Amino acid sequence: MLVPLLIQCFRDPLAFQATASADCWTRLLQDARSLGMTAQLKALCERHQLWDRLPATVQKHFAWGWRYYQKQQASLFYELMELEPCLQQANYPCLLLKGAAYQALGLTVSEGRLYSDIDLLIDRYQLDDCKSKLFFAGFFEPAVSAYDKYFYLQLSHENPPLYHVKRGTALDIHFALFPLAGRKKLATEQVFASARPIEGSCFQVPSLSYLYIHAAIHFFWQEEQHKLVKDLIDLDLLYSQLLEQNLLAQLLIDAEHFGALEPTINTLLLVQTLFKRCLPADIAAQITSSPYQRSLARALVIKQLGGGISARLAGALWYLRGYQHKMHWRALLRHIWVKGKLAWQQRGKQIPQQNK
Amino acid sequence: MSLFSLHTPPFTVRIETDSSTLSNDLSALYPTDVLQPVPIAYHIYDFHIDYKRHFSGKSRPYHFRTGTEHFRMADANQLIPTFEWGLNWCVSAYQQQYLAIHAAVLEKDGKALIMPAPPGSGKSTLCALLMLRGWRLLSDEMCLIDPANGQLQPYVRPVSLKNASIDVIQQHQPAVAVFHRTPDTEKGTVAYLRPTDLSWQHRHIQAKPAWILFPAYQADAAEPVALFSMPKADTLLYLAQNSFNYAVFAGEGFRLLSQLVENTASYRLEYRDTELVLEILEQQLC
Repeated sequence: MLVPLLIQCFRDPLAFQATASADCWTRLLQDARSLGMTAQLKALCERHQLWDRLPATVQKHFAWGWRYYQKQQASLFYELMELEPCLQQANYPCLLLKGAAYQALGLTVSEGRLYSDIDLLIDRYQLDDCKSKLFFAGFFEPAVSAYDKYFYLQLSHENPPLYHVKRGTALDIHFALFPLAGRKKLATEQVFASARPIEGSCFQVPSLSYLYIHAAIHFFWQEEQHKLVKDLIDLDLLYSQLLEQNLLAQLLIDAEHFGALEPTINTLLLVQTLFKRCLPADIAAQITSSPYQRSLARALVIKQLGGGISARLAGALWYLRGYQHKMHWRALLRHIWVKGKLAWQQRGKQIPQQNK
Repeated sequence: MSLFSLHTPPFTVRIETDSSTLSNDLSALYPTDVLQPVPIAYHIYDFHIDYKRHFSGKSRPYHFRTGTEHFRMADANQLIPTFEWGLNWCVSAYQQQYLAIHAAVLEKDGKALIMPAPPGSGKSTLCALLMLRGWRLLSDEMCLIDPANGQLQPYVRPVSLKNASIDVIQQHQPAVAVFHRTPDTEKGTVAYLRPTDLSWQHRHIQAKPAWILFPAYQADAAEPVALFSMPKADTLLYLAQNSFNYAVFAGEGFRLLSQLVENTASYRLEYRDTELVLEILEQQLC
């Protein structure tokens, strides 16, 4: 099994540092930079008291990444402070998700982790009210076609992204954790029930187990291939924190109530295999006897982490499988039909314009 | 497949390519101790560049990549310009060690001249001519300010000449070789000038900033040369706007730029007579 250098490093940073050749460090730096993970490597090495043992060039690159991360972290907190007065007026819970939630909770996974937008989860029926509040705080929704609007609100799990008119900040308002077109029957109300407020803030955050579940469903029920390594490292760091807090049994209970045992169990197995983590005996026993194990899907993930033709083939199968999860086949057929028709009509409009 | 490396302080680059000519073409621009035919096995490189041909539509252009990040494709006749732009992209996009400003930098008698200016202002032409008159080139593209001491870090690379500036250089210095003249690039015709031996020899030595000069070539200007003092606040704002990573440096960036502007003299230079401007600059600055 060919394991990417980044996973090898996060799996056992001491062993990696002790044995890495110059070529190995060079390749690690390139991989980390491409995935925006050099600051996370700095945090990892500091957690393991390895900083002083790193080669000077590696320290330099980790410091570059850390400088950029500090700027991002400051921007994130600034943006959340700007959102506070507006969303304080909401009489319903506003939950931070993903990177913003990791940062707000100060989780290990947040140390050095970059983000691209702020993700919020609110009740679906409060969407219009939330948008109107954000509108008065300077956020706007770029124009989208009627079908795209329908797609976002009826088939997807989020509103089209909102942008701040001056700061350009992107804000994703979710009303579910997974696309509705996937027909997964996920109990979003459980996420709200698990949430706890952040002290001194109007925002709330889901419990640690729901943060893991969210990361797991977006990893295991999707088609993207370019950041598998980054997502696996997120899952491993969240897993380690759940283990530290003795919350793995709660994780499986929450995953069952929420309706996402399949991604939870299989991502735990991937973490166990790739990062050589030793699952507690009771958790391992529950997983081993679970009917939700998907060994073929896990094999596709592992194959993609290697290179060559087999990785590409695995990637193609992973893509098809991901779409099957995200959209029920009837929704997918209708989506392809409507998009194709719109593209054809658009083409018809463009040709006369070109002839003018 | 060939593998070679470039050791241009403060950054080192390892290049993997299936071009049989790239290394040889670059040897006209870089000295032998900078362009290494084989990467050093025990050295950790800042950037690994993958510059190979891939199928893309009907042609097989070269793809300039670092890690999984794609910069640009290049046909075989534009290998060198795309390579040079690609290296600039790597540094401007990823390095956060130095506060970087889009500007040419030269040094004479221990004092450095920074020339920030938009394309078409004559920055590279002036930079090349000053270098050929004995100034040491630190960079024709990137002014790197070391936050530790406020000094300017050299990043010596070939001087990129574009369009009319190629002829201007050849008129002024007919004996100087201009390499890899490449027409029809997205910036027009480009060509490269090899940095002087002095510039290469002192490529590890930082310089103290003394002047900031905003050149503007104006073919129809009333005066052949006009030099104005620039308000320090305007200079600071312009430098901040033309920095690649001012926002990332945040408060430290403001401190560094304030210190730079405070400790230097700033001018705006409008000119149409290149020969006269060189004389005036040397009189005024040296």
